[in-house]
Amino acid sequence: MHIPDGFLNIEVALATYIAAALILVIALKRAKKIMGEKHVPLLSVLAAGVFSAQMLNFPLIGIGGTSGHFLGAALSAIVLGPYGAVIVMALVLVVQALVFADGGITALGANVVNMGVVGGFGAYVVYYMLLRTTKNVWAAAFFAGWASVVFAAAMCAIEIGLSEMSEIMTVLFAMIPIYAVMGVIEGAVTAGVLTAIQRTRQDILALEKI
Amino acid sequence: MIVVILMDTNWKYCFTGVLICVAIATIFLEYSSAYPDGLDKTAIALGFNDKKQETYGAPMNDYSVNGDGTVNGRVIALFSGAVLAGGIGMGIGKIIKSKG
Repeated sequence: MHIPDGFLNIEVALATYIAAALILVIALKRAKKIMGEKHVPLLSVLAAGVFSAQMLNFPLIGIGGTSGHFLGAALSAIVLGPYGAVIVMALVLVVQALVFADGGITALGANVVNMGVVGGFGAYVVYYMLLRTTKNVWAAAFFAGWASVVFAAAMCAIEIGLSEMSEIMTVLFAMIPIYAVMGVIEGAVTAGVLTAIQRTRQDILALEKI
Repeated sequence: MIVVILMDTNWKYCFTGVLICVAIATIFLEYSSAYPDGLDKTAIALGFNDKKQETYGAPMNDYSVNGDGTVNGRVIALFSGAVLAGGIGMGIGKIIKSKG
C-alpha cells in the first residue's frame, strides 16, 4: 500500500504532508506528557517488529498474482495508543522510504496519513467500540486489524483518485476487495499477538495509551 | 546520546526484542512472495503504473544490497532496517521522556 513517487499530484502530496506533520506534532506532544519508562522499549520493539513484518509478503488467496504484508498499525494502536501508532508507523515509513525506496519521498505524507493516522485511529476506534459491546478481545482485535487495512486502502484510493490517476470510485472498487482479503490476515495476526500479550504480559496492556 | 541510551537497562529489552523480530522474519523471508501488492496490482489494472517514478537512489533500493535481491541481500536489508527502526524508536522515546 506504499504509494510510490509519481502517483500523487502536488496538491494531494502537499496537503497530506501538512496533515501528517500536524498530527505528528500533536502525537509527539501527547507522548511527551504520557511516555514513561516502560513505553520506550515498547515503541522501539514495535517499530522494529512492524518493519520486519512488512518485509514478509504473502500471496493473497483468491486474488491471483497479488501479495500483501502485515501492516501493524492496529496492533501498535491497541498496545501503544493511536498517537503512539502514528509515531511508530511514521518512523517505519521514513526508514522504508529513505533507505529502501519503499514508498516515495513525495508520497511520504500520504503514506503516514493512510497507514499511520487512518489505520491507527481507525483500528483504535473499532477496537474499543467492539470491546465495549462484545467484551471479546479476540473479536475486537480481529475486526480492528481488518478495518485498519481497509480504511487505509480506501484513503489511499481517494488520494490517487484526487490526483486524477483514475476515477475515485474506480480505484476504490479495484483496491477494496484486495485489501478486504489482506485485512483477514491482518486481523488474525493482530488478534493472535494481542491475546498472547494479554496472557503473558498484562502489564503492557495496562500502560497508559499515547 | 548513544552512551545515555546504552547505559539504560531498557536497551537490553529493546535489543532482545529487535533480535527476536529479525530472527522470526528471517525464517519466513525465503517464502516471501514476489507478487505485486494491492496498490501495484490496481495501478497495472487501471493503467497508471507507468506514472511511477524512481528518481531517488536509496542505499538499499527495494530491500537489496548492491543489487543482490537474493535472500542473503534481503536478510542484510531486514537486519539493517529493523535495527535502524528499533534504534530510532528508542532514541525518540528517550528524547521525549527526558524532556518530560
